[in-house]
Amino acid sequence: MNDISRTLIIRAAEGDMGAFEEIYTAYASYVYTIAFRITGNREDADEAAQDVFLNVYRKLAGFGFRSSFKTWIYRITSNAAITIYRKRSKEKGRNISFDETIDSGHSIEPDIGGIDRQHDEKTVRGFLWRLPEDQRACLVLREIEGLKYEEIAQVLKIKINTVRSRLKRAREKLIAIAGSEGGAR
Amino acid sequence: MRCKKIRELILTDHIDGELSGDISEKIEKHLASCPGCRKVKEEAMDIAASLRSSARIDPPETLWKGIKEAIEEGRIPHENDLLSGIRDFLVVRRPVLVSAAAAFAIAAVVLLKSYVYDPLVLNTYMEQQMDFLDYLDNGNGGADGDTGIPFEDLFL
Ligand SMILES: [Zn+2]
Repeated sequence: MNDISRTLIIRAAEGDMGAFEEIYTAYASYVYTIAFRITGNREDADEAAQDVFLNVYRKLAGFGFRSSFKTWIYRITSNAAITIYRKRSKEKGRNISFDETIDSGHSIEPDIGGIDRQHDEKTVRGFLWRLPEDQRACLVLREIEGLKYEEIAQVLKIKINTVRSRLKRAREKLIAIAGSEGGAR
Repeated sequence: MRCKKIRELILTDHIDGELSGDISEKIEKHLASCPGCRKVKEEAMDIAASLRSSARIDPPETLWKGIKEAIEEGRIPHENDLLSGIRDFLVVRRPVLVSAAAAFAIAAVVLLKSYVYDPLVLNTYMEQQMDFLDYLDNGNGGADGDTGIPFEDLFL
């Protein structure tokens, strides 16, 4: 994903709703995907994504251009999603499971469909919901968003070695799960 | 390199493409002769492939509507004025630094208001100062540092 232009950010910071809508359009699916993959369901993803964009709106003028806009928005998104996930876990007790069903409609990319796709989606959810949320967030940023270690470290405000160890533990666990369930696919 | 170290790298930098060519070569060489490590790599790659090919999820149409309404009804003010920035800034400080932070923030307003008009420039400046305070806050000095000068006096 390319970073959006400085002028657009400044216009939005000055209250131009059209500019803010352009920012929303550019980032909505990235924000929503991260939120959905971390919280595990649409209801919480909706809440997290709404929080994210209201926060972005609120803090735009203070953005300051010191990090890339992408890093900044990913940081706000990860924070919001992890916060909501933790709140929900506390409310519901230790194990909250990810939605088993896939919402019909706009959740699947139009170019891939059918039973294989649904099966893959189930596999992904099965993997993610069994990880602690800090490992899950790292893995989502790495595998789904394609971020480099350095970027993940900036987004989550952790050390690069922490990124490494979280990814390592997450993958070890998933390998064990895939093995005990007779393969990942 | 031993298998344990190799597997650590396989599960991290190797499959994520974060290694230099040099180490990558060593790993490839090891993999060619070690079925155990090869298996770990295959399993890790399978899982990575599932996740990497997973669908991007679009938000519902109603999401933007809700955001727009909240903003237009004025429930979400821009924090582009200096005072709200400072208020936020004080709320997150640890108590021990609050008075210093307040003193500093006031000094910053006094010093800057006269010649900085661009809110973005000003906010950048404020952010840099906040980072500096974070740095102090993280035990790298600060109010009880050993300069012998009260923290506030450094700014006033
Ligand atoms: Zn080996």
